[in-house]
Amino acid sequence: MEIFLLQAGNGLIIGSVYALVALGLNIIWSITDIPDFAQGSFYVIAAYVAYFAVTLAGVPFLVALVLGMCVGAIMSFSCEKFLYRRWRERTFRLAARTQLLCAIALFFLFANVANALWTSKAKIFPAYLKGSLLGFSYMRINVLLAAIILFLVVYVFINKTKPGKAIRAASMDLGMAQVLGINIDTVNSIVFIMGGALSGAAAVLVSPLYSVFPTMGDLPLLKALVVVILGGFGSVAGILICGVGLGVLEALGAIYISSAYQHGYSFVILLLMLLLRPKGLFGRV
Amino acid sequence: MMLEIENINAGYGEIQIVTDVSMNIDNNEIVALVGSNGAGKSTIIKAISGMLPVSSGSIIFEGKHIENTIAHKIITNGIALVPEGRRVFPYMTVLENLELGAYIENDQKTVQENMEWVFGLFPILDERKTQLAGTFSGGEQQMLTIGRALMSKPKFLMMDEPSLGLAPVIVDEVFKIVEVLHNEGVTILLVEQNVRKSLEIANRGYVLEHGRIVLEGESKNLVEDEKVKKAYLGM
Repeated sequence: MEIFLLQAGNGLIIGSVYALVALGLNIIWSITDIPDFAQGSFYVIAAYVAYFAVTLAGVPFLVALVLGMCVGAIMSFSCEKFLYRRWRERTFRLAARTQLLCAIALFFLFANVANALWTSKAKIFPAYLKGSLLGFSYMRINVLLAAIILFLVVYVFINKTKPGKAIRAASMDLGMAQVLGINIDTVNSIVFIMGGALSGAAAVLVSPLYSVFPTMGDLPLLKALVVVILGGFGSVAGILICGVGLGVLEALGAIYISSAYQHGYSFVILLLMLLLRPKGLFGRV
Repeated sequence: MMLEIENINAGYGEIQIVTDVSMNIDNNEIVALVGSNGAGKSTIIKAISGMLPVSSGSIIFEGKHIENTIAHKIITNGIALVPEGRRVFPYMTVLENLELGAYIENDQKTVQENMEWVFGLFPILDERKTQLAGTFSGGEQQMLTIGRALMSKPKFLMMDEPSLGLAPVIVDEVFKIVEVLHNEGVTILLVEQNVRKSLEIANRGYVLEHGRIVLEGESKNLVEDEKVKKAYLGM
């Protein structure tokens, strides 16, 4: 029983990381119609920047976290503004296809840049906090707490503020939103900033638990894509439930079935979901 | 003159839909733009609202050139659209839909005043303001779409097929609202397939065929026109 709870708790924590990345992906996806693979690379770069800020400059972890979020946000914002936007303006209906290819290219590009600059050797992110509660280190518990806070912030922003409502409107009917005076360029900038900041936050939060290496973004990105699809491109709350749910199932699968297939369970669940309920758990379509 | 359209050409990419169309709309007029399916009525609306570029010609609203203006700027001139197919935001409440209609208005007091005005016109929206728009019936959604367009207190309202797909009782209601708005001083461009009803309430009308204006004039004269009678009124 104890091992069950411990493992479920760990699943909850890693699941909240998937959920954070998925939340950003979901919001961007709802506006642009593409899964923005490039978020996986902002995740990696943000982790490295936070790592160097802590080890070289000796900044406190919280500052490194904010720094990582800023790096993710700026990179994400720039990629949309200077790359994706060009195709949106020039190719109209083909834009989504071109943007998707560009996103995949960026994903590989940044992973290789990280590899070239900092080698593939994993860097150990120093622990910023000692001690534990009920077998969970404070650092792990902080991941969950930070995720909950970020989800609340995004939830309030999307549902209660004017720009948030504009984003929701644009996600349902882009053309109609424009006619009502909503600037689509601004909407895109906001969602990419949010996405990048969330990817950066997820990366920095998880770094002290594992380590920092060039391909560290691959699995969280893929799992986040699964979460978005399981959630059915639905609500903020749906993403959180699916994210932690997936993390827990994966962690339990690792002890009760086999840890060798740990990363496969998500995709088995994805296939089952697509077969049995293609619109996702909280789907609207 | 409120709106002057001079010799516009517009279409989708290589395909030209509208050819050399000229129209005028005076202050506080109801002007009907009629024609069969595919004649290019919606294309004209899209060109005015900035959703489609015009390849030549000009659109002048209150003395200002607005052709090829980016879509989200058009509404700031006092132009609002009731789009074809209603296009409410289905997963948002009635209240949120209406708030978005006043997106460009930053003064909360004005938003509240406009909301009172819309609720006065459509009491059903007031009664059901927390309901999701997607759960409304077609007729209710049409009321919401009109209400949303009115939230920016427009001088000029374009209505694209407002009666399409609605039950006859609701159609009557929609046309009644058009008259009420006209009495409140709103200038209206009414695009309709329901030629008889729209010419009944409009001051003037334009008949569009294959992307060209083939007839124009006072509604009462158009109704008497032999060609209109034969082609659109089934007489």
